[in-house]
Amino acid sequence: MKPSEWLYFAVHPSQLRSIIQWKVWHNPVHERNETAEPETQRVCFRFLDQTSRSFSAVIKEVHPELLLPICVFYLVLRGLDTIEDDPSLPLSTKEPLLRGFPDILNRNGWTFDGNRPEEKDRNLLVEFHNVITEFQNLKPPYRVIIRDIAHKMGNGMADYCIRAATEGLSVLTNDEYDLYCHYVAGLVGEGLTRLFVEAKFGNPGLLERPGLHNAMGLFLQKTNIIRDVREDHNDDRHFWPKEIWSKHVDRFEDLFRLEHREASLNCSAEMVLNALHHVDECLFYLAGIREQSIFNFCAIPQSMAIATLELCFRNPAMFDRNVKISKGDACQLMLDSTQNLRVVCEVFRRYARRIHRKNTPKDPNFMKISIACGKIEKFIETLFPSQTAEDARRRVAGQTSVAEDAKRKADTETRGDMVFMFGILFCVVLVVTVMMIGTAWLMGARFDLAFQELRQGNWPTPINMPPGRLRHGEL
Amino acid sequence: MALKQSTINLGTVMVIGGCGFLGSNIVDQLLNFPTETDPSCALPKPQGDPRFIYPRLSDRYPRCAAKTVVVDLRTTNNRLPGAEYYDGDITSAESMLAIFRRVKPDVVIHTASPSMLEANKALLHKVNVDGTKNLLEVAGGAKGDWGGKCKAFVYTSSSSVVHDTQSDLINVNEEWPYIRGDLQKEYYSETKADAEELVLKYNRTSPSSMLTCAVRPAGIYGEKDTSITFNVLEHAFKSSPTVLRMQLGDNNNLFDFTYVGNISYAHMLAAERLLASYQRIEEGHDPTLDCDRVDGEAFNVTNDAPVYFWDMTHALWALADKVVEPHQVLALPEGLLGIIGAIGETIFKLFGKTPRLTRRAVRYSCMTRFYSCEKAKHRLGYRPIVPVEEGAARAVGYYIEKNRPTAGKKEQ
Repeated sequence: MKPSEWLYFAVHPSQLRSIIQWKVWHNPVHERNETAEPETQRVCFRFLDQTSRSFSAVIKEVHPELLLPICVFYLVLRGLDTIEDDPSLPLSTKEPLLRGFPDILNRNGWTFDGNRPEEKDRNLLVEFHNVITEFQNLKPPYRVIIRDIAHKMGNGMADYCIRAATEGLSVLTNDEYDLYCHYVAGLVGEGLTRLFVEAKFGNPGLLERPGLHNAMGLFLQKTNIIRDVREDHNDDRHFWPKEIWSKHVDRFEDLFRLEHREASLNCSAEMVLNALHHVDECLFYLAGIREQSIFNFCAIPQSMAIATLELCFRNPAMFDRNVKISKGDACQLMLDSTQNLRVVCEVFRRYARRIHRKNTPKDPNFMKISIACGKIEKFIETLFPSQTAEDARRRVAGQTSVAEDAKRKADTETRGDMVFMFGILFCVVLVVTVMMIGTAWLMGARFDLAFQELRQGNWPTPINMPPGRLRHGEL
Repeated sequence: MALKQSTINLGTVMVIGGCGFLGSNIVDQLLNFPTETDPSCALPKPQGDPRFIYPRLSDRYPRCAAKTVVVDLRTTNNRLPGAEYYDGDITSAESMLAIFRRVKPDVVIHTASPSMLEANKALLHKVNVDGTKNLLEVAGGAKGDWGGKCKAFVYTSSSSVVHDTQSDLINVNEEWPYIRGDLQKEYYSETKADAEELVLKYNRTSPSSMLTCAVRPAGIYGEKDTSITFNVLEHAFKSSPTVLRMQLGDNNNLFDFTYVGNISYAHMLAAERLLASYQRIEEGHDPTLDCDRVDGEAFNVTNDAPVYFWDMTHALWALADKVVEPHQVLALPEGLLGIIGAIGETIFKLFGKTPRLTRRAVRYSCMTRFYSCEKAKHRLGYRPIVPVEEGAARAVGYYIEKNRPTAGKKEQ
């Protein structure tokens, strides 16, 4: 570790504590058994490590039944993404690949070396035959799910590429924003949910409520879009909907100018507000997960997302550079996300309150943001109520019991009597003291001399005083 | 929200307390918002400020088809064209019978209540409990025949009937018990609970088989509001910027503020459903399931969007151009404030006055108090049509424009 990091942790010991806790005490629910893996599988996990620094560790702790299906699913989508993202590929090449990706998964040995050298995940496609081999080894139901999602996502991405080529890539309305996020992330949520339910790790009811897994995907995607605004802008890509940013600035580039900083902060706050509306459904979704490692797999990214939103909320730095939550906070979030739903809800409540604390009345959406944070807390109260009607009834019933009423009244009278007697006793003592002191004074007691002696520190009675002093006294 | 506009048919509606804050709003809604169409009774609001531009209420709330009659102790305030007005005393059976004979209402909406802060115990009991009992019996035909049949009786209760004014209330629904006796620190709430109980027990038991229900509003605010908005804004205009920065508690307490128009809407829905139930009963079949019934039931009505208490305050102040930013806030802990409040109260008591900071004010500012209105949404079809932030703008806009001469004078 660098000296600056040591200094940082010296000043922030709680952060260091969180990191140590996670590294030393975290016990994965499941661990991958590497020695039994065939070569193609090992290659897949190597690609997982390379292409997903944040998700890789989480995926590897998943239940063995779903470890490989999720890994393959991830790599398939990453392959699609690598094709879609590459600006050097002409549309005539890109579109057939995207739309035909489900069929490619059935072509043993298929690879693709057409990406530009700068494309970060290029090698995944160059060695894609490994992914295809492992895909073929999956159980048939998992293959059907992955193929289906690849089909939908490939078509969605192709449609966007065509639109980008003809109209320019821009998101106009909030609905278009949601639709884009649905294609790139909501469908991932759908695929994962179907995998969970197929493996019996998730409540089948989750399939009947597509809004829930869509929200899981959208919340993560929107968080990334909000956080990555600067680096996307550097790449000349804009995903913030015009419906939102046009309320605050005339041109998107103005968001990055210092003179428009206040408008930029209000704009990013509205983007965060838009994302917060998905939190209810995310928490509801997590309530439907039955297996611990799958719960961890789903909860960790969501907790990271709410923390990232809080970091971005009214933070001018996000328009200058990439902002990231600290390592200590990340470890704490991972610790909290691998317990149970109640602890995860506490995480969301905590970060909702942090967002609310930074909210300013100068923001035109001040009240809406406050309401969105309040809504998260209210929803958590429906999942884990702090109070119940039963407790309230018991309290009321307890108080109105006739026997207890009589007892309390008797106690009150007793206490009153005691207070009264102590009061009288105190008065008597006071009166007697005053009388005694008064009498003594009348009889010539020299209290003033006594006080003088005490003040000088002469506590004991003088014994064997010198004759001179005695004589002085007489005078 | 794009709400398909429907029509609510209520026959002849008598609004008791129809010249009050909530009552006059109900009348406005029953008459399909003359305050938006008739200049003679238009609500004042600042012109040319985009913060106070909002869509019309009449385009969003359902239309009402009703003959509207208002009864109040005095009917000089908040009069609207299109309604009939009668002076009447709900504690007097003769007074009410005379009015009922002339009006022959199908629906009674009872909103009359002395102010929570002004009335003494005797008056609260006389109006809220005795008055409500008397009104029920007149409407239900127990005090003699007045030539018609009242089918539906909607009582405006209070969300405070389950609140002891000390504890937090967190997502409380209608299953919570009344708080009365020694536990209840607020006599107003006790009388409202007694009255609500009378109303709900009277359901279907009157000579005319009148159906009853109760609406429990939480934290009413809006145009003409004399409590929440008035107190918050008065504080804003009277206090120095330093005092405005002082926040009682940590502002993590959620509070329900409900726009008055939404509460009026809940009353319409309740009356409509009671009439529908009455019709079914008269036709000889009433297949309503217990989990769907409306008569004999109480309903929490909120904006379904609790807000952090001091965020609401800061929002109202900001609309009045007094902004307190998060870094300017001086958060004072509740424990300390409670002690200061107690000391202040003791000292001021010697002079027969009330200090601005009381233990009660501290508790109210720091407590969590929000309710579940799922029952109203499910059984009444209630939706909070005007959101909290628009309600806030309406309330502040009204206050500012109405008090503009005073504000102008201060500016000079």
